[in-house]
Amino acid sequence: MTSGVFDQLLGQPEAIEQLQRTVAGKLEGVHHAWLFTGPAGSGRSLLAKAFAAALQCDNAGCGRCQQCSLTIAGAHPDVLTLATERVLIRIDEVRELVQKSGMNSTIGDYRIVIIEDSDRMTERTSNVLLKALEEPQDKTIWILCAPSVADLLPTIRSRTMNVLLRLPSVEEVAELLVQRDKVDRDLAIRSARQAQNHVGMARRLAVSQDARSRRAETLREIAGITNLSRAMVAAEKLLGVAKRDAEALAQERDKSEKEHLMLAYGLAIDEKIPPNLRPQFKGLEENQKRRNTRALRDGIDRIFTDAESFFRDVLALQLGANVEMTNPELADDLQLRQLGTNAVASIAVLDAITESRKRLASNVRDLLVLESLCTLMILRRDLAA
Amino acid sequence: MTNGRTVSWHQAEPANLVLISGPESYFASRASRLIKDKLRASHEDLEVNEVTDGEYSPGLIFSLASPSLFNEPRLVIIGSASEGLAEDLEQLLLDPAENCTIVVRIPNLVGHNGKLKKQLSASALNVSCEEVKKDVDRIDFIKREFQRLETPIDLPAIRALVAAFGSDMGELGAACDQLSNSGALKISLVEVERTFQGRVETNAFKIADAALAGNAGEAIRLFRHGFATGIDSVALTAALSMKIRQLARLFNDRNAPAAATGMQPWQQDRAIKELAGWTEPQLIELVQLAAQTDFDVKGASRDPEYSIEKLLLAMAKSGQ
Ligand SMILES: [Zn+2]
Repeated sequence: MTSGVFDQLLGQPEAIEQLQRTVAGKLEGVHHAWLFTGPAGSGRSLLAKAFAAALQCDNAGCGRCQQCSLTIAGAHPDVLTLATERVLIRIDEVRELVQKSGMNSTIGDYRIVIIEDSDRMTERTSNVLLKALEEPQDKTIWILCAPSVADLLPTIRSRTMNVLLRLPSVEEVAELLVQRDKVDRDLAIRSARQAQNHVGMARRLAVSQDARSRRAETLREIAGITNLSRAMVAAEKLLGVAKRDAEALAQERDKSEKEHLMLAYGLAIDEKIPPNLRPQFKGLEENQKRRNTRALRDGIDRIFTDAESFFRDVLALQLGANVEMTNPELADDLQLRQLGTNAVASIAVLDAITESRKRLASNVRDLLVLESLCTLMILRRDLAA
Repeated sequence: MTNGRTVSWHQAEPANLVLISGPESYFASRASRLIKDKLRASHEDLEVNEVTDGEYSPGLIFSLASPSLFNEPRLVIIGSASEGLAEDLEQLLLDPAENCTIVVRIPNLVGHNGKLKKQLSASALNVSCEEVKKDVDRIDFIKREFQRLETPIDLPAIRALVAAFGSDMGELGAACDQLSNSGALKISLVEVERTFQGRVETNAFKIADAALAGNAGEAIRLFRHGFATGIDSVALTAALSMKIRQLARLFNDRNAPAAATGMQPWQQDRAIKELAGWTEPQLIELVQLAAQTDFDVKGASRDPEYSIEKLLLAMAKSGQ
């Protein structure tokens, strides 16, 4: 068993096999444009990174050489990544990328451009990209990531090789947690269920006590909303949980990227960075800072996922559906809700969560989004009793 | 050595540990800003980390104070003491991080704040932000402000300012700024009157206040005037939703301690008065409308101006 770059990715055997075949045959040529699609949590961007590393590596993505380490650390000079925190990618960002894509590679065999959230382009911006895809350059490879194929213009779609990622089932996620992370089976199944099949989130719930207690805190706050004032307090608290969650995740990721970069330059983990390498590390730090502004939004999204699981349980009880609960440990709270509200109210909350995701993506103030959502979660205890 | 010294807010300066205590929060924020400006004047790449009230978790200071890759100067501002902070700081001070200034705001001497002050004031620069009670101190404040702003001002003008803004140091400070930027070479009574009297101050809070007072017409008029003169609709929505948040936060919880609501006592008193006539369902709708308005302003609607007016109407109507 190697510790290759693809091993870090859970639950996409078909996609990985397709990409590994391409990497194995790279001397015969690699298609110049790829489109990775899959729902949030399927690991599109991680897979894009792994594919890029495997193409640059001399050993099909060994995970240990400099090419691999630099790519995974997000610091490979020939792997450009565009990740936006905005609602839309700006046209000049894409112009710049197109221009840079044409330059010769420096230390790698390929020039690779990754566009995360490539669904966030207007038609005009897409057309700038299209021009580049229409005139493939030798050794330049584009990897676009989006939730679904339909999110891109047909003219772009027709030029890309499509790789479809899926959300694995609860059983698959749990199995992976048991196999790779040596997690106890019961905990693995519970985490997979709680994460609503989101692989990365399931892994964190399974291995981190902190992540588990943040989830419990989230649900406790939600269950305790009994009037308007409590709803406002809960919104603030939930934002605090999301912040801590985002910070913890960002710290883990930052640290691991830095370690990869140290490794790539042959430095020991606690070694002082020599002056000539400082710009590379500075660059990494800047990228991380930029990304971390986006991390909070992901943290809030995890709150939404937790809330969704809770209200799906409530709705299932209200409809008398005989399904397994995601949050059996909250049986009392679920019971109170089932009696104190009705299915229409539960559906309204679930709809509002969908709407909240949309608002967050449009940069509506996070606290406002949460406040508005929490006011729909008020449970009148006196009515329930 | 700064250790154990106590200075007034306007003498605040960088030190390993600075404790800003006293009830006047406007002075406290000026003191932090002063320290930040002083540090920034000598180090352009100053790294600033702010830990807001209640966000501190034990151990956090060690990561915030630890040198970054290039040992850039760091400033850590902590909003209020909480669990573990006193112990962490004590340990940190045994071996102070190089190039790092830690500022802790101690708004009162209750609980963790009191404990931290007692334990650490001997090894810190103590900045005191006492409440201003006497006019002579307000006059001193104004004189110092204008000295700093390098604009001469005469005594009648100072007296007029004290009379108009004496109740709130923050407003007084803002008025001084505004006057010194008015273009006049020397400030006398005429400038003060011209700048502050009879003038429609269309700031966001005026608009919110008019709406919550039930005066829809006035609120809309102020808004349209403000809009024509370039008021920022995102900032206005933020201010309106802050007022709404205060009402909603207090509706079922009117005796909430100020420490829990994060409001100033006078803000709280005022919000409770404004709650008269509101029902809970009306307020719930208002909270939801505020979020919808921000969504509209951020691009979901082609006519955000109309969305804001709708919100103002709702704020003015439901309360009646
Ligand atoms: Zn390799």
